[in-house]
Amino acid sequence: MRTWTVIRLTILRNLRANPVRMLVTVAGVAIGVAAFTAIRAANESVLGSFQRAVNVVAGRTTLQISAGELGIDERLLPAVQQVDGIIAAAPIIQAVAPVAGRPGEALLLMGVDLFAEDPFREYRMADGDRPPRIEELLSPEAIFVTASFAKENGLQKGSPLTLLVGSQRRRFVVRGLLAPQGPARAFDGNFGVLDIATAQTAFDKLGRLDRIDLVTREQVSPGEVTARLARLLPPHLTIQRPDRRSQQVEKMLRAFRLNLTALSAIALLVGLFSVYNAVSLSVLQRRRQIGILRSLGLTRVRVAALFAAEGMALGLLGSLLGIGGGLLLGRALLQSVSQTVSALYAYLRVEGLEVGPSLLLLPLGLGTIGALVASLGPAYAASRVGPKEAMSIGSYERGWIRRSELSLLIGLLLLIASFLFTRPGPVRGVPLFGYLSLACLIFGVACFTPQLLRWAGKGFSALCRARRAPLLQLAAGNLSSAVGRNAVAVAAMMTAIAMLVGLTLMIGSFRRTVELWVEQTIRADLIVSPAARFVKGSGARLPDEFVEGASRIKGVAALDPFIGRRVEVMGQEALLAAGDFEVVARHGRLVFREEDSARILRRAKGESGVIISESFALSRGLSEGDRLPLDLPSGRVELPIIGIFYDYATDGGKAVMDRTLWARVWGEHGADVLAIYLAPGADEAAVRRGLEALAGQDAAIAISSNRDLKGKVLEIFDSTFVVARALELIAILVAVLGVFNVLWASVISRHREIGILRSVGATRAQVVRIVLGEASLLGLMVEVLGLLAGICLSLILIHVINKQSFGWTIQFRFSWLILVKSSVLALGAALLAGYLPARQAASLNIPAAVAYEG
Amino acid sequence: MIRLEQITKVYSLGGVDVRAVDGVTLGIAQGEFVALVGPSGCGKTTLLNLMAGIDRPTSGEVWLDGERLDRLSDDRLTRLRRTRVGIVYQFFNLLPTLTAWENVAMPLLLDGLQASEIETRVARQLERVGLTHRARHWPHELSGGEQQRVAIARAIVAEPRVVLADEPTGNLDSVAGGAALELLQRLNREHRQTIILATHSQEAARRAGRIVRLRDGKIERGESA
Repeated sequence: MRTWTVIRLTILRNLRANPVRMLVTVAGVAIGVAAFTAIRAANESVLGSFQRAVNVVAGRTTLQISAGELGIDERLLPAVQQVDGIIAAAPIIQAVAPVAGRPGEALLLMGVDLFAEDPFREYRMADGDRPPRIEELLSPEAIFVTASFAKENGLQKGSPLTLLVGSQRRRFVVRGLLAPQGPARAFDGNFGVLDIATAQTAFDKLGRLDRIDLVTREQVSPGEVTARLARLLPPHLTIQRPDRRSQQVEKMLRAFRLNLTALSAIALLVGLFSVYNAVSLSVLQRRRQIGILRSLGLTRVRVAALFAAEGMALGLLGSLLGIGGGLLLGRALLQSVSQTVSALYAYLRVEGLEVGPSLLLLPLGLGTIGALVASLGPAYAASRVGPKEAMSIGSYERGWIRRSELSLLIGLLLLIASFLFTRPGPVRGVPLFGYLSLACLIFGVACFTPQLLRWAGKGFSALCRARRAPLLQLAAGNLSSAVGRNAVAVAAMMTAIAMLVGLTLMIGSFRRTVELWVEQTIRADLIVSPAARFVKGSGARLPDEFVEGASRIKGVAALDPFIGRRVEVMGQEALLAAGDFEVVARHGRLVFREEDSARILRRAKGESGVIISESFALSRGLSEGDRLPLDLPSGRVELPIIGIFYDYATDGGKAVMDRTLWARVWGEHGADVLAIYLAPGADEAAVRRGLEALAGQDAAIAISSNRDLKGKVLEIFDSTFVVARALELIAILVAVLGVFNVLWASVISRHREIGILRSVGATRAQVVRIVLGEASLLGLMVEVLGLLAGICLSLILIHVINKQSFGWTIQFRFSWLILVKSSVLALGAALLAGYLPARQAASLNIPAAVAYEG
Repeated sequence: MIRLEQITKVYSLGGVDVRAVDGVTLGIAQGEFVALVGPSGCGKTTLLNLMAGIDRPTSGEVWLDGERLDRLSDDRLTRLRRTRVGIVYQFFNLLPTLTAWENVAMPLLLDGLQASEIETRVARQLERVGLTHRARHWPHELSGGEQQRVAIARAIVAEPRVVLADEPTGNLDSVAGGAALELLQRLNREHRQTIILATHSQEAARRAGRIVRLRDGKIERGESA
């Protein structure tokens, strides 16, 4: 009770007496926590949605047999059903089909043997809908969709529904509406069921299955059944628990999620800087009060505890507000994150934000405990104030002068550590040391600020003295005489600017690298693909007749039919693909790490070898001359690696072989995408018309020109960085609040000084200029440090974090624009933050200010 | 030169009106050395602030050299303080981030004078207060007496019409205090500088040519020494 009274009288009353500082600090923490919560919420919801879809679609399935996109020969099904320990086996075709005429809308389609489904999944008709008759079930155009999807799309029982399946627009008829139960809950009801035969025909998978679902006997362990199946099945088939798919997706998304989380953590860090800042300012201003309390019998420990409690209270309040704001922000980000994941990794549709206890507790804990940790330093400083001495601010600052030298040394050590941490490789695919290197860089540069402020303040002061600029000289003097107050604000804002510069340079370099790559490698004049391919997981292909017919169109010089399947290679999913190497050697180009493109491609064709992408090579530790083991339907083959090429289009990397080898080891032709090279002088429009005519009326193909495709690649690239850019702005906003806090405190603690200036003849405008001058100098320091740290940060992002996360080589490219952008932002933000404090300073009551005893 | 007509200054403290100055009428001629004497809270500082133009009366008129201060704009008042009024405080009130020389030069720098002019004037004033050798020192490197002499030099550097000194010896030992008063006296004697000194020390007041006693915001009686 007594403790509470002391807290109420010393801490709460102080917070109430300084409402501006309290509000700004709480806002800083709240925005940081909001960013962290939002990213986490969006990430978790995306993954949660995917996991739930996998679970509800799996139903009571205990094991699944699959082969990535290679497919399974359906003749294996009876043999599987005979294996001891298996109660039931169900054949499955699964694909994503876009809805015609509704961009962005798609259905997860499952082709099932409706008579074998009972042990696996439960389908229930929506309220009032009678069960379909058997002929309705099996009719070749029958589809069952969820009642919610039907309602959203204005469909009823009997309505036609056109989907983009393969390269065709295919018309189905809605034969029944499903209640939200079992698999019908997947992807917010964007789910449809077909008969397996209809699905095989529609997706051009006659005789093949995507998966076999199994229910095993409870008494037999799944491991045992797996062993029995492995003896029976070809090696390219994998037998796994259904949740393994979620794990694969989680693994695939790990780097993407981790990068966003790391960025949001920086925003949180900047927010916590503001707590350190606020408690430091509080200690600075209340040294007399501390002295008096100490003389009244308050122990050192309790003084420290009081200030730590103040920081923690600010953190708690900020975190609570931040979590609320984060959930709102998360809802806004969810769309962007799920679009990126859908475009790059796997189709999904997110129901809404998932709010679990861990989502709320982690940011609350990080914000509150972080604030407590941030306030320990100033709290300790408060506890060192003696009971007799109502110490002057000067002695506090002299303490900082001593500490700034130590801080400089620590900063140097951290920078060395930052450099050393760039050396080791990733830990289980995660660039752990890269993140450590980033943290050391940020903290290292932050440690430089006290000493640099002293030097800069003195330097500016001398310069202004020589130039007889008394107002700026006063501003510069404040910079170096209040190191303790200014250092943290500079560090916080420097972190935000470094983040801006680092990300902008990284994204800019990356974009430039991709632009060059696109320019060098996309050489075809026209690119044809099924329209359905714009959704991940459609598995759509171009029919063989189309490919053959295209070569006969007048004006077509050469064709490169590209085919690819996502399969597991050396334990990780990747794209295994084929193209016409001779055509690419003659007309196109790939950028290889070594040697000339045409020569490597011809060698790969001649020696029946493969070429692999850089990320594929890095993630599997392969290099030129090694052999790549592949488990294919025809058996295991080991192909020589002839070259390693740069590729920025496929996550997880790809291995490509010539079409003749593909046909040999795979036993199939076909194409997913067709690259067409026109003869010199050919009429592009005429070829386009020829292709459209060849595809037929019901075709759902997309024909892109060279320019369209290049544009589309860059468009996807830009959309993936939308969230990162939003985080940049958030960090800057938090930092501006920090600088505002410092300048506000600076004005308050210098009331008397400003009063003297006014009394000896400084006009209001001159006082405003002094405070804004101080803000500009802080902004300048921030810019110089932030720019240097940002350049280093971008180098770490490019050469360590991105390289280890995604396996992409990015050419660093400095942009002078970022110098202008960050300067305008740093100085602009500092001036903006200084405006209100400057106005406050100018409108000071002079007699009261001068009479004040500091 | 300075004329106060029926000056009243009322402060509102926690909802209660306090009359710091209550109907004061006072005239001070050019070259006078006047001491305002009285106990703490009698209104000495308020009166000085009103004469310096850093505060405005609730009612009444403040005249300096035929100009009515209580009607001037903030900018005009600021310029007036810079050029025609010099102020010396009890707590010296030097700017901690400026050297002694820079502190003294501040009013001239704010006024935008030529560098050579500033050099000459600051050097002259520092010599006058006997601190030429301490020009490059920071305030925290100076003794209390030296700091107050720098403050006096700053107050007179713009050659103001009047110097207002608010308890200038209140924070000094007797020797340093005596020296500061001696300096003010000399300025008055040798340069006919008008000086108004607020003090509660009888000894300090005795150095003035006229003593004005204040109590509860009113003038008790004026007397000539």
